Amino acid sequence: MKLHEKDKQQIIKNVAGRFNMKIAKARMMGDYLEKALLGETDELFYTIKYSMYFQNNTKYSMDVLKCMLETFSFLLSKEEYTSDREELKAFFYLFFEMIFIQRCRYAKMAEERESIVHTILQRVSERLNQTLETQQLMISGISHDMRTSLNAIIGYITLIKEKNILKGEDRTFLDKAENASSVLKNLVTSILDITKIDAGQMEIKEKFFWIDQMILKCIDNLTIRLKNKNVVFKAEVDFFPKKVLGDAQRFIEIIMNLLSNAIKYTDHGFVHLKVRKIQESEESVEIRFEIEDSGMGMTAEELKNMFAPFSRFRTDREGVGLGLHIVHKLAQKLGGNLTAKSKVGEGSTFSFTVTLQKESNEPGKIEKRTICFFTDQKEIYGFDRKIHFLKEHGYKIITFNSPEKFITYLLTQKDKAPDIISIATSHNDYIKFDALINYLKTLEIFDKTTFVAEETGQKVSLEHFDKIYHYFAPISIYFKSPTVLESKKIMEKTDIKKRTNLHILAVDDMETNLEILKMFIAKKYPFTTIDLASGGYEAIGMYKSKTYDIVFIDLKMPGLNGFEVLKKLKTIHGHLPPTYALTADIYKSTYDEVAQAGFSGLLEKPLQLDILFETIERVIDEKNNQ
Amino acid sequence: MKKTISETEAIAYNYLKAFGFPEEQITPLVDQAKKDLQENLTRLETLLHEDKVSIDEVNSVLHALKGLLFNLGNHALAEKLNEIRSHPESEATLEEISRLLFDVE
Repeated sequence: MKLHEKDKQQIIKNVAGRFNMKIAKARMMGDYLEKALLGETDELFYTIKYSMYFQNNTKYSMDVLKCMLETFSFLLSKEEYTSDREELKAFFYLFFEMIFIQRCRYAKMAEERESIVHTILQRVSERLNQTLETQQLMISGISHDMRTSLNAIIGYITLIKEKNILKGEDRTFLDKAENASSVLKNLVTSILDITKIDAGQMEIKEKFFWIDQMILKCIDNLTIRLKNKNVVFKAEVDFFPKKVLGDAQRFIEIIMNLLSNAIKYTDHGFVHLKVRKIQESEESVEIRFEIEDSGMGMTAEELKNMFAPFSRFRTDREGVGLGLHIVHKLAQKLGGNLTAKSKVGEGSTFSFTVTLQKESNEPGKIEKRTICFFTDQKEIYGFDRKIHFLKEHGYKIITFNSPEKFITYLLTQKDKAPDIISIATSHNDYIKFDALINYLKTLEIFDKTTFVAEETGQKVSLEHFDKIYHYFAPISIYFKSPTVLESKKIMEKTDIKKRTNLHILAVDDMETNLEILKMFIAKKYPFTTIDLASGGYEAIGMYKSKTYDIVFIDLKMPGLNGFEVLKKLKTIHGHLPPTYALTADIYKSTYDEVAQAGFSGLLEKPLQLDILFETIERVIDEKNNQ
Repeated sequence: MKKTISETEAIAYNYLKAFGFPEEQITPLVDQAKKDLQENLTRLETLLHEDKVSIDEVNSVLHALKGLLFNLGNHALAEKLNEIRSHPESEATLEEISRLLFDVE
């Protein structure tokens, strides 16, 4: 059969439109169709088969089918082709079959191809894993054996040195052998670490730990590295009274490595360690450890490759270039992010940010409560510290200085009143507030509120306050009574703490002060040994002959003052236990001086027992975790 | 001086008792405290009667007394001493110290 020219043009137009085809190509398809109908050539079938093979997708096949359907429907609807209907139908069936079968064949082929590729990839992957595993096992085995042998070598070198037999040049050779062995041992340890991390065998032991104590350990370890260096080290640490969940030892490894690098590449200037609390929720705290130096810095290219293994940009400094690679991997393993910025000649800053779970619902820790403080007193001793302490323990604190605002606040409470309302005011005003409290207690929302009068002085008669304190109320009154179950847990925990054998050294020139301190500590922790020194020299003598877990030193003493005593203690054992300053003189500058001197913290006189016991319990926790 | 010591003794006794310490522990401690108080107050009295009063030394003894009084629970007197220590150079301050600690009118 032969197509009429106008019908042929219509078909060409349809084909061009559907496949977005150039008109010349569409005309060629029209010619093929005509020749196929005339039985002259099978070119149309081959072309479509090839296109389908080339395109290899079901949508294209469907489009071809639809196009053919439209074309044949168009031709069958024309009267001119009535006599050719049977021929057209036969041709259409043939065509449909060809597209359908071809599509199925290609689908099958694609599936088989995919399966083959998958099998090949799987085999390659298995082979690679086997090779890697064998390599790792080999490296791990060799490194382990090397380390064992190196330990023996270092041990024998130390023995020879101790005997002091070698002199002059021989002694120098021995020193060199010792240095080389140390370098080799560090390299082997690094390789072992990398192998462990890569093999997923780097063990992370998660426990709750005090962040500030972990930082103190890092700073302690730095002392030797800073020796003979013209570098000023400074640590700025946000107040972290919290315990967080993590592997403290791994954190120390990361921070120490970054600090050691900073010191290594800084010939003069500074190295700063900043520990910042980025954000905090009820469950977690995001912390950034920042190590900044004024050292030689890195180029953009070096910065890009700094975490790659064996990246060494300065061959004049010792090391093999594995430290940052390990630290980077370790940081990832701990769920943190390690970044760096640097400029040649100006220095580098490494930042390690990590979010850690806070210790919560621990027995003794209290659910979040709201405390409202009203004080029109100019200054109440220790008030700021009390507010700070409560906030750090998750309390919501509202403070008022204006009586009008405070009363308006109380009278406009609708849903929930504060758990505790504490008032510190003048004698006459207490009586007015007592009347107000009488009224508030008739309102349902104040049913569970405790009203506290603080700093009342000796003579004031108040009927409606729940608790009255002549001085500052003890911190314990803000803590909610635990449930029976919690109490049991607290008792179990407290029992362990009570039984911990702790060695404490307390230094104060006033014997009574020492005895009182001893009495309070011994009552709470009967298993502790508390040695008392009434002066600096006596303290140094005691410290030399015994290992203490915690030291308390009064700052103002005749003879050696607290700062001088600390300075001397630092030189004795190398490692200083947590050492706290005791003083009745609290100025803002005192905190700075104490921190700069290297004290772990400051305890004010009169001693707030909650804070004293919290300090001791930190040390107990640390000791029990070791 | 006697008044200061006896007042502090009474406060200290109640203060330590409130913490649940037994009498056999409190009594020797309070005795020791009285000795310390006596010693420091005497030292202060001597300093105040010298021809040229040494503010630094007065301050130092006041500091020791403040800490001791705080520890013995006499917070009111300790805080008054603390206030005085912030401006110890005036004649009025020295008189205030005498009035507070030595019952001098």
